[in-house]
Amino acid sequence: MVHSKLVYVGIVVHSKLVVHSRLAILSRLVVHSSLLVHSKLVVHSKFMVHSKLVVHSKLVIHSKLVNVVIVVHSRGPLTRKVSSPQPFFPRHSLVSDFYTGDVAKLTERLLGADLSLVVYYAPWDRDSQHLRWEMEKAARYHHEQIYFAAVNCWHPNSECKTRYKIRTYPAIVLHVRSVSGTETKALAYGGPRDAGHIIRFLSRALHPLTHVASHADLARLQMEHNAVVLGYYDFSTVKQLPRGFISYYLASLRSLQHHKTSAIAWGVVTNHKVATALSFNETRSVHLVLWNTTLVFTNAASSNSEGMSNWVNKWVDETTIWVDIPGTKSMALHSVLQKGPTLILFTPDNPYHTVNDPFTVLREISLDYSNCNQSSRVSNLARYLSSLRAKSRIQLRQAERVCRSYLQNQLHILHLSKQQFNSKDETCCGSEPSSEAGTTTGDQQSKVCDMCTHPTRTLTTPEELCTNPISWEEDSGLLHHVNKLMTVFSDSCRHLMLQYSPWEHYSVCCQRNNTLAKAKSSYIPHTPEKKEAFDVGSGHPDDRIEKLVALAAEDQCKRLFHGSLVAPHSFVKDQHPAPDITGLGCKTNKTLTFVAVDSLRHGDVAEKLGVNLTTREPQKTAAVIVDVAREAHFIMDASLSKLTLANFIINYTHGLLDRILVTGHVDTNRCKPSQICIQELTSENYLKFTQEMGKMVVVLHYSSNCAACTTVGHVFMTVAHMARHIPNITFARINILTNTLPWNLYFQTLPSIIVHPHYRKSDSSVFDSTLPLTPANLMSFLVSNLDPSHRLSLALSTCRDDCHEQVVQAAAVATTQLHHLMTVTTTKLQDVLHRLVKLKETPHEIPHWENHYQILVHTKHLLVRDIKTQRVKLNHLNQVQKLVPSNSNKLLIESDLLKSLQYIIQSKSNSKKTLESSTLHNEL
Amino acid sequence: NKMTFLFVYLQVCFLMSFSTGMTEKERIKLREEVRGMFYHAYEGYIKYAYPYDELRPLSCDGHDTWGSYSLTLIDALDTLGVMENKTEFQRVVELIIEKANFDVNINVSVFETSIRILGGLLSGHLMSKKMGVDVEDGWPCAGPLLRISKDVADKLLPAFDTPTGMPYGTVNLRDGVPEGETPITCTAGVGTYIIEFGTLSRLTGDPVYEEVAMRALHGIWDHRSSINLVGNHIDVLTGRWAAQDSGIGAGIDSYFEYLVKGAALLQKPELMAIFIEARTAIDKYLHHEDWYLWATMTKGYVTMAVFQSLEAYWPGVLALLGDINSAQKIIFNYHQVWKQFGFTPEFYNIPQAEAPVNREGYPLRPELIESLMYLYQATKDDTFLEMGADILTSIQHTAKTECGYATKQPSTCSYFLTRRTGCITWERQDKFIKLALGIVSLKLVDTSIILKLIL
Repeated sequence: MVHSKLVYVGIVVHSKLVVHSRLAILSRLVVHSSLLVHSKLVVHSKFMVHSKLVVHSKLVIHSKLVNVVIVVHSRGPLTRKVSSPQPFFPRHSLVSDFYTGDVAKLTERLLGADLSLVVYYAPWDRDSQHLRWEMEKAARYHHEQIYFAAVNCWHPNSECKTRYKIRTYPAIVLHVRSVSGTETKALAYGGPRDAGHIIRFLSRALHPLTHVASHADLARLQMEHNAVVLGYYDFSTVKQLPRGFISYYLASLRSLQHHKTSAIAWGVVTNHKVATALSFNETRSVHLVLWNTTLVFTNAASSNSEGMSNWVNKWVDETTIWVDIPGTKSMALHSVLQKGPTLILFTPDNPYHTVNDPFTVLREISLDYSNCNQSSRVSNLARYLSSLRAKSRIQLRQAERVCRSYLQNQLHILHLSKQQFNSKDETCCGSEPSSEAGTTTGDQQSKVCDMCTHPTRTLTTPEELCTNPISWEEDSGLLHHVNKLMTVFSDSCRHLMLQYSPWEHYSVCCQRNNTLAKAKSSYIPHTPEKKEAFDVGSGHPDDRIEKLVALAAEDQCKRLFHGSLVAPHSFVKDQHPAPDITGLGCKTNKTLTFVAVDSLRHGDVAEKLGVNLTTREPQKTAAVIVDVAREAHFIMDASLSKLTLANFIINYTHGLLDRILVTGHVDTNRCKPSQICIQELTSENYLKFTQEMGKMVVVLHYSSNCAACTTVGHVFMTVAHMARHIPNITFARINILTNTLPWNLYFQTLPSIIVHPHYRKSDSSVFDSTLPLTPANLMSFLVSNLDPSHRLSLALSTCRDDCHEQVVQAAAVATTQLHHLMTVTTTKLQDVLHRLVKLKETPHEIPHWENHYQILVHTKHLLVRDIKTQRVKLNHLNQVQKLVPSNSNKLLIESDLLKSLQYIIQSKSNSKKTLESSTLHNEL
Repeated sequence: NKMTFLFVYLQVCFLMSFSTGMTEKERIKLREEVRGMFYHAYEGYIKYAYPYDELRPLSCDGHDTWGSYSLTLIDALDTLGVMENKTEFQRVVELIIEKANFDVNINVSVFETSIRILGGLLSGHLMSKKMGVDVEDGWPCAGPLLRISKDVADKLLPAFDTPTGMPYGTVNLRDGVPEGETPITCTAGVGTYIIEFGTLSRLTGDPVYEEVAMRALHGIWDHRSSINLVGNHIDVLTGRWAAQDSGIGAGIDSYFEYLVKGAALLQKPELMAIFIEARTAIDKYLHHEDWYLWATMTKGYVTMAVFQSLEAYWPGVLALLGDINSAQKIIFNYHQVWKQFGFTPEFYNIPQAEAPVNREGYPLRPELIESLMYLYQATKDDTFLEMGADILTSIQHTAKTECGYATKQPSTCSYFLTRRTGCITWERQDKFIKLALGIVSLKLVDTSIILKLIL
């Protein structure tokens, strides 16, 4: 038997196994509950709904209908009657629906159960509407231990609405009945609103305390939790509950609100010997066992539950935590990241699973990393974690074997319900597959449609009551997991599974379960027989214990089944020993904080960081280091193991990692040559594309969420159109929201336009953002960045007929002018030469003769150069005149023109002078 | 001075919550739901209320509200375009061309006529080619709808003939500003023309519209206080402030909105410069824990700590500006209010987290959902889609009537008709649905954006 751990020693039931009994700890450890009637609970709750519910069982106020104002108008009513409240949950739901907002009645019922989960809903609220199916699922799981209720806290003038102010619907509140049984303590649940997480919360609320009977128990708690709170309460000496124990119990429940994932365990030491071994001096003292030290709460005896939980919250110190990102305004992740570089492990947090292998790896690493003074306590803990991981794998395999028949049974039920479904008509009133049906088997078939029989004609009963709350995509995922699970089953079972599709035509409105009667009358007073169990000191098991064992075993199977529907177990493959990173956190000024984020619910965070979770191994698990201060993040490429994670951290510490540049989707639409099109770049191809030699690239940096960017597209297009004849020029754009670029290409303002020139790539220049972005401005910016040859070709290519004429004319004028200039220059030259000859003849004694001579020689050189220039220009103009098609030879094709132009330009630029072409450009 | 768009590295990733995502199926379902909402309301109007301005959704009849010009029909035109209902679009265009008559002796609100009639006609004009209407040569610089727009705008122009350049609030379509008309206009009524008038100028080539709109915008800004806040109502003849409360909500709201949208649409950096200066003052004096309060314009002392449902446009404007960070923080507050009431009340007392009695109605205002649309477009974070779905669900649940959608008065849980509350409008709801659709169909739909896309 796998339940060997369940040891019956005196009053102790090991809580590793979840025992199906209402309020296990209370009913077991609270022996003399009848004596506790007068111990008052001091209730403090931050929750706005209420902290105390006092019974007024006779005060049942019927507030069903609300004032109706009808103002009669000549053409019709101005106001409409308020419709009377409608049931929100199906009639035979396991959740009692107080849809009139009758709080008094609800309170009465709450006092009939140890634990109750109440939803305060508003019928119009979408989340409330979704929550109701999750509540149904949770109720099916836990209805034997917990009373489930829902109350309409919106309907105007209802008692609930007038008594409580709910700031966000729905509010989920756990009510814990006080020992006196006259009031309840309210604990708000703020976690995810899906059945799995609610069930996890409830399971933990049922068993908030763990008995610690030996040092080994403590070690185990330490391994499974980041911190352990230990309280020593002596049950043997007194005939009633030890003082302060109730506060301790409530504090443990309270911590469920703050620590949504099981980060902190609350243990109870009852044995004097064990207490001494754990260095407890007296009863009613509380210790906080942290990873590197143990703290003692000195005021434990005099503190109430709030004081205790505050103390724990103040001193708790964890090397790694789960960061919960609620759906509401939250700075949870932000505040962690602001502290410094952070390693985020994205991994599934399956609420049905008790172990999480990747998270344990992270804990191991974080313990070593933070172990600055080489403490053996910490390194031992890390080592134990390693062995725990190995063990949990074996345990899972065992559990799969043990649960084989249970799982087969479940699948059989699925199959049966499918057959049953087929026999019905395919309307909304088809039966629901009993995939979540829990333990019941035979009575599953008797399903009744009830919500569908409600009149749907009135506007206040929208059709949404009969729609499928689970999306198809999710369903196929579930099916996939179930299929995976099937591999542990026999072949005959598997083929049933393969043809079965339970979620086809799934319809929730018709759910019906025969366990209803039981649920409604689920209040059972504190069971007296448990008391006997406590009194048996010898350790002989009786049949009740066996029953508990059986229930616990079934619960394990239930978890296995439901858990596999959510996500499979992910195990880390560890082959090689990891490098030692002990104390690394203190040897660097880039100390990391370690956090884990549930990748099932927050996969989009990972996606935004550029992590593709689907390809990861183990499933949906990835490690990312985010350094907000340095505005960089790094993704671990390798699949997660202790080795790879340690290496990743070491590489980060030594600065060996490259900043991740997030890249958007690659645009597959290639431009056709005939079209003007703007190519969409990504960070992957940006550099390759823009740095290509001989190609000029104009890039518009924009972002899809910038309003100013939406109105520059046509300007950019216009310019692209105008510049289409310039050879080797490309227009492109990049969405920097989805593409990270190197720092040198990072702009403070958008839109920005940058030009990467043809050859000298380092001379890229940015469009001046103080200028209005108009086609003219952008064009002149472009032209100023063209090298002269391209400038000329641009100029000529934009030429049409009249322009050609103008060019010819301008060229003719320029030629004449040049001829004239040349004549003038030649005359001057002759003059200078003449004077030079003269000067040579005159005696050298004339004052400043030397100077005169020098000046003349210099002038001569200048003039000669001018003449040369002018000759080249003339030559050029000649060629231009030849090139530009006059009216007679229009047939000259543009591309030919360009070709010959380029040829000229090339030869020109080879022959050192580029001046001419720019002159030409000016003339044009 | 350039239109700036701030981009802060990774900011989008970390600040806020992330949703678990929405499947394609859900998106499509939501989209179709919105489509259904639109047709429910539109067909209700056509069946029961046309040719009146608006439908009264409880009595299922029509009445005139802003003028007798089948307001809803014109206002719904671009939504038909967004819904890609070509046949109905073409039918309505013909109907408008045939029936439109603005040469009538009625007093109309300059503001409402501009945003609804002018905005509706212009966006209809610009969409008409895409909607398969046979456009005439020269489109988009010519066309029947454009001519009607010009006609309407010309009738509004007399209101702008004041010493300060700021317009009167009311004008008679035939005779210009009525005798004895009050010169007190609210700030939004002065500064909410640039998008429609600017578009008209660019399309017709006549600069006068853009000029008067710009002059009015500058008129307000020139009269700002020494700490750069603007008041609530101003005397357009003297430039004296008649109401000195400064905030971002009622009476002022669309002035800021049009500064940003106008700057982006018409590429006017000077408008953006005004907005940035104004925003600095707003953040300094009115901004408290991601809420915006009301304060005196002269000293910046807080007078009212209320959130008005009209203010919900603000995060959208910030998103357009690129300040996604602030926008997200603010919209989470506003969404919480929605979750508390099932709508955003006209007034919401921030410290007490309550809606004051008689100020808790909800005339189906589109501001919040418009902001959600911009934020979703900017971040693609499904959280905002979910918020939009929240809004959709509660509207469907409580506001739907046999022939349309009514406003909410949840204190008594009854539905009031237009005339009673004075501000419920069918076309508000129409625009609302338009924007809701924008969220789920990933389209940009606000009039100005459509203009932006086409221009």
